Amino acid sequence: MSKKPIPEIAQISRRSMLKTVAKAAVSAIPLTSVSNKVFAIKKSKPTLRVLGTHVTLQDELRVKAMEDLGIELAFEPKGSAAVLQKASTRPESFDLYEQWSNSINVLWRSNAIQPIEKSRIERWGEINSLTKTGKVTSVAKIGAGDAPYKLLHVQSDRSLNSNETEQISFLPYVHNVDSFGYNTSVIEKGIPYETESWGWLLDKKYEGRVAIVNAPTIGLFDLALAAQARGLVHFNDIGSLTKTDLDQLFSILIEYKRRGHFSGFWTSVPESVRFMKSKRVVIESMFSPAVSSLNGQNVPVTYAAPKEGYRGWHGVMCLSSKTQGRAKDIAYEYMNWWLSGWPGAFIARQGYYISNPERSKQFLSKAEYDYWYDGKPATENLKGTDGKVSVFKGDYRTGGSYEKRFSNIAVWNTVMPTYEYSLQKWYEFLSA
Amino acid sequence: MTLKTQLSLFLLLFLLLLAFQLVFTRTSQLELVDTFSSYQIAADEEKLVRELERDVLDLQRHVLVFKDTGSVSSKLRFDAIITDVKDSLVFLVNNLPEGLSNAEIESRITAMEGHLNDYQENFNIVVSGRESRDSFFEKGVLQALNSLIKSAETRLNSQPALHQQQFSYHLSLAENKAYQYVLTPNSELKTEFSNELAQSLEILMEMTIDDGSKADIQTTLQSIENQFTQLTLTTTGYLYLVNVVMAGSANEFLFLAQELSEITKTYADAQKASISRSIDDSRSRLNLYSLIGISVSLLLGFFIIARIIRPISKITRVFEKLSEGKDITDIPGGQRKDEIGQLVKAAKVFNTKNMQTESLLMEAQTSHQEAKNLNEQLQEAIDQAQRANASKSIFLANMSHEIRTPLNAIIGLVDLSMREDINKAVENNLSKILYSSQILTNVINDILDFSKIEAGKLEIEDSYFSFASLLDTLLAVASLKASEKNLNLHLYVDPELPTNAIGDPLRISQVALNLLSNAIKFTRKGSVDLSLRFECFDDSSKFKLILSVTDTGIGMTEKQLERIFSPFMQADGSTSREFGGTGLGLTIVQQLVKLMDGDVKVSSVLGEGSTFECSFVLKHESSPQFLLDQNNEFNSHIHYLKAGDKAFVCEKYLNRISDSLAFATHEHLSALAEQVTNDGIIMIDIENGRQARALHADVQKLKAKNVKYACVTNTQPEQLKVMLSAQWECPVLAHPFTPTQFYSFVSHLYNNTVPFTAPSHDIERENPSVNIISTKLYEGHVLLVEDNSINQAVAGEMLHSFGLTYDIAEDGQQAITKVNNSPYYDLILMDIQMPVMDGNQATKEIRQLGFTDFPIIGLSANAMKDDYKAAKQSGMDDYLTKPIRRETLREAIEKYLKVKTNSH
Repeated sequence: MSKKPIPEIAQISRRSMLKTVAKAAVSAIPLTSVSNKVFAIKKSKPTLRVLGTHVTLQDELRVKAMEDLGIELAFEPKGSAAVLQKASTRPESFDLYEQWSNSINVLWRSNAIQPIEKSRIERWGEINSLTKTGKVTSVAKIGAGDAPYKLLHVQSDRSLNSNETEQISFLPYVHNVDSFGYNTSVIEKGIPYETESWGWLLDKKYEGRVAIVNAPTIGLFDLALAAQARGLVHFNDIGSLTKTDLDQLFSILIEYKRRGHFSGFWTSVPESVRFMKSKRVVIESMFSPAVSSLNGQNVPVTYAAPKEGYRGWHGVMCLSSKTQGRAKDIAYEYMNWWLSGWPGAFIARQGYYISNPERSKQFLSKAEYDYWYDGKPATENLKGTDGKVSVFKGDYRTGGSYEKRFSNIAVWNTVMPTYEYSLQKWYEFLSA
Repeated sequence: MTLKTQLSLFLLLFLLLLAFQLVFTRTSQLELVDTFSSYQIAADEEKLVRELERDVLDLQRHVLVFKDTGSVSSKLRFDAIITDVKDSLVFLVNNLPEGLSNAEIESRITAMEGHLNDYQENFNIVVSGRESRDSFFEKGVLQALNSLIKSAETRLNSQPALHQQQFSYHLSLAENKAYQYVLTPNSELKTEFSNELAQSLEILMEMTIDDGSKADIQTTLQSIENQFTQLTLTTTGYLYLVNVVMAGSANEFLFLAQELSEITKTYADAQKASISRSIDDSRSRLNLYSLIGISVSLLLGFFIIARIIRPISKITRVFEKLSEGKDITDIPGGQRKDEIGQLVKAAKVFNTKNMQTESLLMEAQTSHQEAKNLNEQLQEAIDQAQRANASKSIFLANMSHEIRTPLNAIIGLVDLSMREDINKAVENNLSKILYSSQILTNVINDILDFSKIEAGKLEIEDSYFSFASLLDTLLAVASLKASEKNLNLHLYVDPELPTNAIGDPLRISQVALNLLSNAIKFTRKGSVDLSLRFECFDDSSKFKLILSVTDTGIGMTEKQLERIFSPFMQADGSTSREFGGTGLGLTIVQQLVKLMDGDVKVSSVLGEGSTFECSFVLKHESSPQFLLDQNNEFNSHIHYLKAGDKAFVCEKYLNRISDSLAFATHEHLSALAEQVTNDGIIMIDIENGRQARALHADVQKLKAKNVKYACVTNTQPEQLKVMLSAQWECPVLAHPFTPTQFYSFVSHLYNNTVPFTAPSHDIERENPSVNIISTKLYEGHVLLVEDNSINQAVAGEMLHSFGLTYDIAEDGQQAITKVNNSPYYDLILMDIQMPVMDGNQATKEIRQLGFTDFPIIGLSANAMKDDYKAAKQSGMDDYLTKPIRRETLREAIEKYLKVKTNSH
């Protein structure tokens, strides 16, 4: 069905928003909607309504886009669940939708979005193979679950698959891989892809000091990978767990939970930062900005490159099924703007990748590109989008280069057919 | 360090302990109270947090119930619990115990509030989501399907029954799937639902109905599918919220609550532990303090016993021994520097003193013995001295008696001899013998008086006397002596002096004469003035007579003044050589004056003269009269002509006789003689013959005019008085004179009929021994009782010269015998001091024998008052003091015996 989350969480975390987040410049966070509306009031220019999450609905981007495009932008950032709910039931309330690939199925089936004409995407050719073939390199693992390329092309029967057509269900743009972070002052630093393993999350050594992201479509995979890595279970297809798989998995997890293995379940990036910073946990599911933030605060957290592979996610930009005419034109302008280089460079400094990295390369210094994309050690201190140093000279990005990281996708965030069941199990797990 | 300091330190230590204990106890108590209250708060908080956990679990239960049943009561219950939980959180944050990290707690509570709000917010979404789902299900799916099935019955009745049934069947299956989905949402049911709809659409498509109906039904089917999609989205939406988001919130809330609970529990436990710790601490501190306190008390006890009580009892024993007088060789504790050490030192000192005292006592006893011996010796010496003094007095008395007896004989015999016809030379010698004898008598009298006063045997009489006679006597004696040296003698008496007084005139005379004699003795030229004044007392029965004697003599130095009242002392040795005398005079004066409650003062200027002033206290008679009454009976104008600066008559005297008085000098006499009438009186002071001659003519004029006039002269020259009296045939008043004489002078001046003679005191001076001898003879037989043969002879000769016969008795016993044998005596002269029986005893016995018809006259050398009194008591009629003067004896005899008529 649908996939990807971060912000299903954000709804909850709105009030606990911290400034560290702004600095980390990330994602799951809320809050900017009010200022957006200020601009929305100016009716002199056509207004584009964008519904999405905080990961991409950042004010810097909005201001820059308005400046570049001469349009009015109204951002409506919401939590993932709310965004999806609104988008799928009320397509007339937005023009563009920015979320994760795991929401595509829902939106598409509910006719909330319309196909995007490839021909109107100026830099379609620049878009790399990840969403086109599913592999950034020839040797790359495709990864279990809903790999974005499987949902991209609109077929004549309105179904979505990887067969190239002239219409696509979403514009590929922001994406990244996730894993877990661990405090190296407590846990000995492992070797990326060799010793670092999802299995650590269920290591009894860290009992009571483990946190998991509170989202079944995300956390469930972290835990499934962990359980499988430790040999507790074996899944035929980790990207599509059956009810039996889930029963097996959750019986193990509930046992862990009852033992007090899990300290908490975070619902926002700042919360995950707090967990780690306060030493409440020493190892937890993490998103990339949280790691940057903690490193910036001198908490020695390493973002693991698990030998089992990353959990990948891909951002999607969708066109409302109700948007037509001028609004649709502006929507294409905005989509093209996203691939124009600057936005990709901007989010690169936050750790995210853009689907046409070569275009953004010119907007990044060599040091920045080397660090963020090529996995090379930083030759100088690198500043984040907040202007503060987020990467110190000599640091290198765990997991290596863009290619290396995306060659090791274990599973994509996915809304499985057993989603509703997993929700039930998740409840049991949390309440255990 | 002194014991005081040591004890004070101990006490201070005690106090400090006590203070510390108090402070600590107080602090602990406060801490305990604080801790306990914190503990209670923390415990309450913990309890509250536990309740919160239960509430949240309750919330979850209600959420689940609502999720499954849409129960309204669960919703209401949820809201109520949420409100409670929120209140509890506010309460928690407002009632944090002190000491509990607020930031830590508050951040958690804030997070909990956040989660709670999210939870509530999400639940509201869930509620509305469920309502939407119900709406989608009821209206969008069930009703639509049912109405489609119903309408199909009519709209498709033209179609084969199989198709109709198949169409309805699939719709019913879809309905069934929808029901199933609502009960247990899952993707398969969604797909199955869509499949059923798709199959019913397929059947529809095969039917032969009009396209419009087909399209209509197709649209309805499409709408139903859309509604179902909405249903599934809504369902998964609120399921997600409930199962993931809200469960996560609850989980985190519970986690925080547990942490909070842990924190409060930890805190409460810590407080609890702190309470028991502080109780334990207090207890052990109390134990410690008690231990220290007891130790200090024991130490103090030991200290006091060892350092104070024991040494003190030792020293007490030492002192006991010391007080018993035992000697102490060793005293313990001498090396100590505190009070005990001082006590030991004191004991040592005491011991030393004890020994010293002992030796001193010995010495004292010795010296006391010596002193006692000395005292005894002294007492003996005093006794001896007193005996010697008494012996001396007796000796003196005896001596004077013994001397006087022969002296009496000498005087008596010389007296007699001078009555014989003898030649001038012999008479002259006899006269000198007599004079010397009299001097000797005076000396002896002085010595006798002195001895008597010394012996305390002199008594002062209280007898009634007249100042007139006293003054007569004084002037008589003093004039005689003054004229021997050609000195002027003046008397001044306060005119207001009482006429009479009660006192001892003899002793007053003696004092006055002594002073006068001295004055005369030590004055070569000039005058001697006697003055009598008096002062009244408050006690009107008495007054003070002040007698002063002023001379123009040699005077005395200060040094001499200091000594002159000492016995046997004169102003200096040379004085006695030049002026003679016994040196007893002033001593006697002083002592007599003292006896009469008075005193003596003396002032003197060397070479210019001296003034002696003495006072006597006398008693008034019952109704006193003034010596010179101020009756002014003459009341004539008096012209007084002075010879010098000062009138010879005191102005006060003159004022007594006349109110009208005028003073003038001799030059005025001639004028006066011309003017004066005979109703005035003229008094003229004449110093010498030359003045008299100068005034002679004027006086003659006065005489011719028959004016009353008189003259006043000084004592010297003596013949001036006689000359003026003869030449001017007027009354002449010469110094010294008494007020009485002045009065009589004035009376004579006024009235010539009153005889006026010159004062009589110069008569005796002429030749007392010759001129005064009476030739009277008396009748009678006398018994002369006298042991001394010389006295027998003198007295016998005197009696004989009076024409009396006499018998002699040698002592009292003989006298008694003689009277018994021949009781024909007319008079007995009885000596007092006699062997065998003294005169007093003899007289007493004679009177007891009944012989009372003849007088007995005592004779004694003792002039003492007691003697006189004793004589009177024994029955004597009179008493004469030896040496017996013939005249004195005659006067006595004359009282008792008849004069012989045929005297020669």
